[in-house]
Amino acid sequence: MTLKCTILKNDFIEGLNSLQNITNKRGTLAILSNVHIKTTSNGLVLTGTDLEVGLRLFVPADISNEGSLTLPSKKIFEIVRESGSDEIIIEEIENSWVTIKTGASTYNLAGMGSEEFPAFPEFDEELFTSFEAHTFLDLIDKVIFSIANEQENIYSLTSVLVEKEKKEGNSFLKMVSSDGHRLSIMEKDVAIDIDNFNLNDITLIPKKGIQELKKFCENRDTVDISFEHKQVVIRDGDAVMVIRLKQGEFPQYRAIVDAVSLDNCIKINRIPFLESLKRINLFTEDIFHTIQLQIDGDTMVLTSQNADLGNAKDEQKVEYSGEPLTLGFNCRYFIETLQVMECETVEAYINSNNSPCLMKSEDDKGFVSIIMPMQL
Amino acid sequence: MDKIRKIIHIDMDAFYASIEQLDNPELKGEPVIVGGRPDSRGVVAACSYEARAFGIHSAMPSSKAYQLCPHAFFIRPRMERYREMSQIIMTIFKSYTDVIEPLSLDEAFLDITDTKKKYNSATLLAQEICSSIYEKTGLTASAGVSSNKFVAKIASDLNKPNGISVIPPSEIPLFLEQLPIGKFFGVGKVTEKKMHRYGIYTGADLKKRSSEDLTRLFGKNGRFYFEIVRGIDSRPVRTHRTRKSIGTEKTLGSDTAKIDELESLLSNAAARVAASLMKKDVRCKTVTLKLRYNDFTTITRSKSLPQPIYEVDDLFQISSKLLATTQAGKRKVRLIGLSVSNLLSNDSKGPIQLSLPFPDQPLSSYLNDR
Repeated sequence: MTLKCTILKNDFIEGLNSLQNITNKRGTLAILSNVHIKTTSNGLVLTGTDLEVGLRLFVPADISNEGSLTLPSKKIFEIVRESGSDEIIIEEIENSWVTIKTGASTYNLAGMGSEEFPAFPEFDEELFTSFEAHTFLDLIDKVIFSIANEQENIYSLTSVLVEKEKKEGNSFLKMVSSDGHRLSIMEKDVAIDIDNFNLNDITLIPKKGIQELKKFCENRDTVDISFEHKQVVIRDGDAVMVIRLKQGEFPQYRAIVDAVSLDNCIKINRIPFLESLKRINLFTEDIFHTIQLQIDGDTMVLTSQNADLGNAKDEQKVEYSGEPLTLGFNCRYFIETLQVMECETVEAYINSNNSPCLMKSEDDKGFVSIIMPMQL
Repeated sequence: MDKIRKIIHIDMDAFYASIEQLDNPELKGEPVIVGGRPDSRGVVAACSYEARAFGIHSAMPSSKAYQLCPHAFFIRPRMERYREMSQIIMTIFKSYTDVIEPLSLDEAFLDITDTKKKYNSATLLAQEICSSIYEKTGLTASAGVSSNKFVAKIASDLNKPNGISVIPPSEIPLFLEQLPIGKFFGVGKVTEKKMHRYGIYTGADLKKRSSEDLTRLFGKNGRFYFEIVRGIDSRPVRTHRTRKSIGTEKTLGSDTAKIDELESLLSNAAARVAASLMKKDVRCKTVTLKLRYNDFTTITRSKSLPQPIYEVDDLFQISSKLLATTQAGKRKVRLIGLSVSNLLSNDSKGPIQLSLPFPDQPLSSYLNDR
């Protein structure tokens, strides 16, 4: 059978857009740049994969003839995006060539047979737990910014660690990320039973997978999630994403949290501090974004220098009664942490200019950020 | 360059070890080894002349040095102190000329063609510089004087320690003709052997060969050898020279697919590179492993690090991880090389981002104790 169908532009573009990041990875198998299209009785199933993240979506369509094929993901997305018509007609001719008609435009586009396209990973229908999407999203948002980049690190810190814990009958889900210089931990009472989650071994979600999970959750109210032994599956109706988990180790982050003594506390108003940091960051050097914080009594002086520009200074009122401190930090690290926090007053614990700085707040339940200083 | 140049190469005698002997009189006259501890993978960064008598030399594994001389004093390098001494010496140089090319903390070229001093006898100036160094620091230096860098550098080695040799332009041809081929600039152990195979043992042998001949044998270096044996070396004394990379490579006696053999070679290479980094007083942010398989395909694998490193253990750890990403062990290897680049000077006190002290990550804890 040769495929023939009619799709509404808005339906199609939404589906293709979700697949773009997954399908347009360089240097993999040629067919992985294509999106797999298969008809059902009332629509199309679109599938894309980079072998690490797989996404399957349904878009409604009028089916005249059933069939399946694969088309270049980026090109079909562009055709639909530029289409002047609300309706798009796809008709397979032969050898996976298709004719695409949108209004007065006609394209003949070379596709590839669907036989070579990798099978979508199988998953267990029975293991899903239903989540409010924002619960899961909140966990991701609080740690996604401090995952190491592939280039940056010699450890396998390019993933997020996921753990579960039962405390007094309540189930907690926890995500941890670190790039070797800072550490973000977010723990949440998920208010549901997650005994099904296979999180007993070290479970690592690669950075790419976390980014796609985030996108998946962002447009949805509820999602079904299942952690299997080697993959995490997230589902909403007909849309399914399967992410391969990474094997490996994660450093003993708890030892660092335990090692920070919570004696010397600086209390700072979060938003004014954040704004001040953004101002000071205008004059930092590109790579390290170095700033100096001088804290004496209730005053914190922030300064930065840039060889080409000059220097900048700013002041903040703080609550502090310890010894005066002079600290160096990567300004960006503070900005990124303070941006994901929600509290009015942040508590920063630091003992010296070369010991970790721990930040948390009563109003940011479950969140802990640790940042290593810079030696100036 | 029409004017005959006057170049002095100053080389401190056993610099690090001499400073240790100076600061701690008990060490005077004793074999002193500055570098890694004998029970570590560390290497000899520098050693006193007393230690050299036992056959110890820099870049030798400390464990080997210990075998040769168990009663030697092993001392951890105190780079701060060496830098301080180096500063004093550089200040002396500056009172003679602004055209200075420091090669490391203890070695520099000076172009004194247009010296700041009233008289310009290169020999006298070299003597004056050496005695001035001794007065201000209590350390001895050796100097070589000639009309180009290459000859000046060889000359400083001739009357070491605490000696000066002068090769005036008129004597350069004879001097170079008598020079063993291995002493020529750019002739390492491998090239030396190759030269020997072609019957080239001295400068005179080299001089007999035509430029074409040498190019055929040694590629683009051939032309360089042709010129240098004629005393042609117009490389200026460069005041802002910064080294881009440091490296070492070894062609194996016989090709091997044994991973432990390659790792042991890598361990030696890491030791040599570490010693070199210490001598130049720099750290590196990029480590590159080079392999040539027995079918002559050559590959390189690099790792860039968030923090600069210089210790032999770190170099070894990273390079063996790189080795694990290659087909070594499956395919036979005929050459293995290790180089480092992205060099950062230690005295440029840029800010250093500290790493989280994860208990199970030895490297990160090291990065914290700068």
